[in-house]
This record gives sequence, C-alpha cells and structure tokens, in this order.
Amino acid sequence: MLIGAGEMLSPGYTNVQYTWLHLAPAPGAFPNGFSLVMGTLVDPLSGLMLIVVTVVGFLVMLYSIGYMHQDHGLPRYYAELSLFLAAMSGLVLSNNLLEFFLFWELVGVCSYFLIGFYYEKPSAASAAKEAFLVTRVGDVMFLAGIFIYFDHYALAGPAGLGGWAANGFVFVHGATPFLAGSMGGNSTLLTIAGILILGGAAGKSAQFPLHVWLPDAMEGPTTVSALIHAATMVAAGVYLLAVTSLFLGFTSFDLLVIVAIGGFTTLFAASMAVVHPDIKRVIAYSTISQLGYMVLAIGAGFAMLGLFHLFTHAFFKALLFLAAGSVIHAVGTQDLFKMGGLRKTMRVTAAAFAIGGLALAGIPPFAGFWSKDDILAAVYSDLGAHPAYWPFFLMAYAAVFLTAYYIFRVWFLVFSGDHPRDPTLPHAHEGPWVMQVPLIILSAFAVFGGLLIFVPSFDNLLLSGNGVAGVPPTYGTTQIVLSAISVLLAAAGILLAWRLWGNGRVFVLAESSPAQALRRLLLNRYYFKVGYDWIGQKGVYTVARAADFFDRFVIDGTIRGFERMFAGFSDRLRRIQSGLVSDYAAYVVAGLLTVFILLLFVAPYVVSKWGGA
Amino acid sequence: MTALPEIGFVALSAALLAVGVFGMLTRRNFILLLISIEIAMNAAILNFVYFAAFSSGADGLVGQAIAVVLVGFAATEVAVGLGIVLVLNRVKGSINVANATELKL
Repeated sequence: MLIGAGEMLSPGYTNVQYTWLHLAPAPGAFPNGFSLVMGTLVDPLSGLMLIVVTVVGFLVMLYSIGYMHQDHGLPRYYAELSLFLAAMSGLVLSNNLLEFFLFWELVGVCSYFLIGFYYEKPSAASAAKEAFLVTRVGDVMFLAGIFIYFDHYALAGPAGLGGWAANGFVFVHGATPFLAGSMGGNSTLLTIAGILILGGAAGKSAQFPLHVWLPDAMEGPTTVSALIHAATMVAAGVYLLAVTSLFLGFTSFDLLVIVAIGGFTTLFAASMAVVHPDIKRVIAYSTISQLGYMVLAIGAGFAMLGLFHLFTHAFFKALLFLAAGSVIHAVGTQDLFKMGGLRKTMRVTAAAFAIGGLALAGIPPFAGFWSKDDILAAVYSDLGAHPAYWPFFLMAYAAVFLTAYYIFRVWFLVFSGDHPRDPTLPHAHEGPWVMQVPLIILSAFAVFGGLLIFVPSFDNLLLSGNGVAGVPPTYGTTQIVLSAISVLLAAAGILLAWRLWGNGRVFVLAESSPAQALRRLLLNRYYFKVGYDWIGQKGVYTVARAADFFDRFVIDGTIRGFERMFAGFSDRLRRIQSGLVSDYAAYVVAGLLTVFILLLFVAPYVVSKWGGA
Repeated sequence: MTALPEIGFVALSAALLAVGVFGMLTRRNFILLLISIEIAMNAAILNFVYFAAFSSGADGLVGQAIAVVLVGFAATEVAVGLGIVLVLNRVKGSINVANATELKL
C-alpha cells in the first residue's frame, strides 16, 4: 500500500514489476511458445485499488466485531473475509492475465461463501448459488476471451507478434494499448475477445443483463454486502475493464457496446431502486447503477475517471451499507415501511447515511459529485466524435435524478418522522464504538474523497494515468453548465423524495393509477429473474433430464449389460471346479493331450505356413 | 544310436500308462487311485530303463540313474498318499474321494 501511495504521488506513470515464477514448457510445445508467469505489478492503477481494498476491508472488519457479535461461525466468517480481501489484493496486483483470472475465480468463490454465510436459510443458500452461477456465465466468457488471445498470439500469431503468450500474458505498458497498437489488433477475432472480456466484467460487476445476482446477494450479512459492493467483488469487473482498456485495448465496436451496457445499466438499475421496500436492496440497485457509470466511463475511453468513481464510490457505498447495517442491527428488520423517526435515537447513523446519500446523489462538495460529474463531462466532450453515445449519455444523466430520489426516499422513510411506522419495533439505539468509528471515518472519505482531484499529483494520475490521455477537468463553461444541470436534477430528486416521503408521510399510489402497471414491472425487476428462472427450470432442466436419461439407460445400461454377461459367464465357469479329484485329473489329462496335439500336428503346420527362418 | 529292435517294449509301457490313466479317471477308492498312479509312473520308469539299455556310455548310466531316482520318488509319493488315506479315513469315515469335495467355490 505504501508503494502504491508513493507511486500515486509521483508524476506520470511509473510501475514496479516483480516476477516471482516463470514456468515455460519445453521449447516447441507451442509454435510461438507459451509460459506461465506469477508476479506482481504495482502501478497507479493498482495503487488506487489497493487503497480502496485495504481501507474499506479494514473498516468492514472492524465494524463486523460489533455487527456480527451474536452470530455463530465467526471463525469461518473472518477466515472467508480475509481470503476475500487477499484474493482481491492479489487480483489488483497481478501482472498478467492468467494470474488475474486465478484471483478472479478466488474472489468469486469467496463471494459465494459469504453470501451464503447463513447457509441454514434456504434463501441465502440459493442466493449464493445464484451469485456463483450468474457470475460463472461471465467467468466462462472471460476464459473464452483468454483462449482467443492465446489462440491469436500463441498458436497462430502473425510472425514476430507471437511473443505475448510466450511472455505469459504479461501486461505491457506503452503509449498506446498493446493489442490496439503494436499487435495491430482491430480484427473480428479481437472484437469478439473484447466482448467476451466485457461479458466477464458484466458478470462480476452485475451489469445488464447479468445483474440479477447482486440484489439477491443481500441475503448475506450487511458487512459482506458493504465489502462486495465497495471494495471487492464488483470492483473486480470494473478493474478488469480498466486494465484491459489501458493495457490491451478494445476495438471501437467493443467500446460502443461497453458504453451501451454501462449507460443503459445506470438508468435500468436506478429505476428498480425507486420502488423497492427493502433498505439493502435499494442500495444494491444503486451499486449496479453506479457501476454503470464506471463502465460508461471506461467504454468512452476514460478508464482512470471510471476508477476514480470506483474509488469514491467504494467509500460512500461502504458508508451507506454500514449505516444500513446499523439500522438493521438496531431494529431487526429491513422493511423500510416499518421504520421511521430513527433520526432521534441514531444520530451518528443518520448523519452518516445522509452524507453517503448526498455523495451518491452527487451534491457538491461530496465525493460522488466530483467523480460522477467528471465522467459525465468527459463523455459529453466525446459525443462529438461518437454521436452513437448520445442515448447512453442521456440515460446516465436521467439516472442522476432517480439516484437522488431513491436514496433520499430511503433516508426519509428510515430517519424522518416522529416514530416508527411499526410500533412493535424494538427501541433503536446506536451500535458500539467499533460500529460507529468506521462510519465516521468513511463519512470523512465520502465528504473529502472527491477533493483529491485538486491535489496536483493525484490529478496527474487520473488524467494521464497510463499514457492514455483523459480530458483535464478544465471547468470551462460547458462543464459548469453540465454540473449545474446534474446538481439541479439531484436536488429535484431530493425534493420529490421529501414531498412524497418526508416527515413521516407515506405516498400511496392510487390503485386505479396507470402507474400501477409500471410499479409492478419495477417491483418484479422487469421480470428478469422470472425469465432466468424459467430458463433454468424449463431449458436447463429439460436438458438435464435428457442427459440423465442418457446416462441412466444408455451408458449405465451398456455397463450393466456387460456386467450381466460376465457374471453369467463366470457363474458357468465356476461349476467346473467340482472339488472332485478325478475331475481335476481329467482336466490335466485333457490339457496334456491338447499340448501333444498342438506340438505334433498344429505347430509343424503353422511353422511350414508362416515360419520364416 | 542303433535302430530300436522291438516296438513291443514301448507298446508295453504305453499300455501301462493307459491302464494307469484310466484307473486315475475312473476309480473312486483312494487306494486304488494311488495304485493307478503307481502303474502310470512305472510306465515312465520302464521307458527310462528300456532306452538306457539301448544307449551307450554316459547316456545309458544317466537313464538308469533316473530310473532309480524315480523309484525313490514313487515310494515317497506312496508314503504321502497313504498318510492322506489315513487322515481322510479319520475325518470322513471313508476313503471314497467322491465324499471329499469341499475344496471348491
């Protein structure tokens, strides 16, 4: 982490690369060679990520002491949490694609463990499975992408360009991304590989259409949600995209797809957060939506801005989750419509949640404002060159309004008003100091984290991070107007939330209202989950049944047939052994006679027919 | 080696062997079984003696020596066989081999 911080503060791009293992198979095993490398690469990119992973990880660990104190299986919990953080640190330190994939899978399996921490609960077990399977779809795509790179650069690479796989897929820093530049990569194959990499990232980072697992992952402990949503799991996908775009490069078609997925996901996820009654799930949708901004930024060619948003988002999202965890810890429910008036008894949590909400909504000077507006301004500046980005830019802009609305809907429902809506709720109180300190520290990050771009060397890191130029935030008229519009949108969202939910009000949509249909659509999450379940039940189950039939009757049938044949044969052979001495004598005599006949008649015939010498 | 003067000796030992084998396959009485084995074995010894008589030098001596060794073998075999007969009689109450068929699957 110290190296990372030091790297970040030095101007321009510097890196420290260390190769630990270099395993090369016998020469000639592959036409262009191939080798396996384990090593670390510390550069501004991983330095930034290391700060996020370690700081948020540490605070979540601290908070867990208070939050999890009544739970059983704490050794397992902390072991899995530590493995999770170790895997994530390994991922951001990897210096090559294969090692990256190794840690990537480790992150996935840790998320499975932790989402299913309450494995006695069927919903938690199935959510863990869902998270694992959905991200697995992405993982398989990622792996297929690596195979294409391997095929292209190790087995059949153009002469002189086959060295990449021979060097173990090591990330190479250069003025232009490696595949886009010296490797001359603009082929169809590389476009497909880029889409596959995007698929992997979309699975991990819960982008449309592989977003379904993230809201269900709320079945895990809230601390785990904070970790997954801020520092570890979902950050891996964005980091993969950033690394790929900076070191390897995407083709222009890939970039358009990435922008489309990111831009669409921002609005898509934000819309689902608007109606949800569960405090954690609303925040989960906001994560998907915010990850959309990062993906959008990377797709538009501003990978470092995307990572900057990842950086600020990690802090305020961890803050929101931990604050929500405090609320859940205090009142024992996640249903927003049972809460209310908690502002009076939980002052620290209420303030922390408000700071997180303001940062998420993008109100200056909170952290989210700087990173989100930088992304929007940067994408806007790119619209002239890429008019196809327009609709996705507008979607991302519209999501600003929804974001402010839904997060303050949560705040007003939970904290404003005079008393809880459900009078049976236990009397709320703040958690112990181990739960409050992380909230306060994260609040500080959520307030001041965005101002880091005014620190000259940090600014330098973001804008020319890897030799890929971003746009400096000049804060000219255009940027200021854009920011003003987004701040106004956010303020309007907060005001609307206040009008509908503030001060203990409950907004009830009329039964006859035409908006009911929309509400049902959103509550059912656009029927994506239903659809995937249908595919799982009908499609996969049918195939599984057919495979089961084949296995049971064709394969097992063949084997059983052989078994019966040999069993019957050996049963008959067994009867020869009668125990009677005379029978054995007869066999000996018969055998002797056979040998005589063979020697006297058959052998001379065979020798005369085929015997050479 | 000169041509064999008489086919009769060989025919005699072949006949003895046939008698012995026939006895081995058909007798159920253990003692008769042993006697059959003795007859078959003596057919072999007779062959050694016979061919030794028509051989010259060391070959003839070797044939006779093997014949004497085989007589010793036959005596040993009978000793073991009669021992088995005694034990069989004690365990089974009879020396009919058809009664002793436990050694099988």
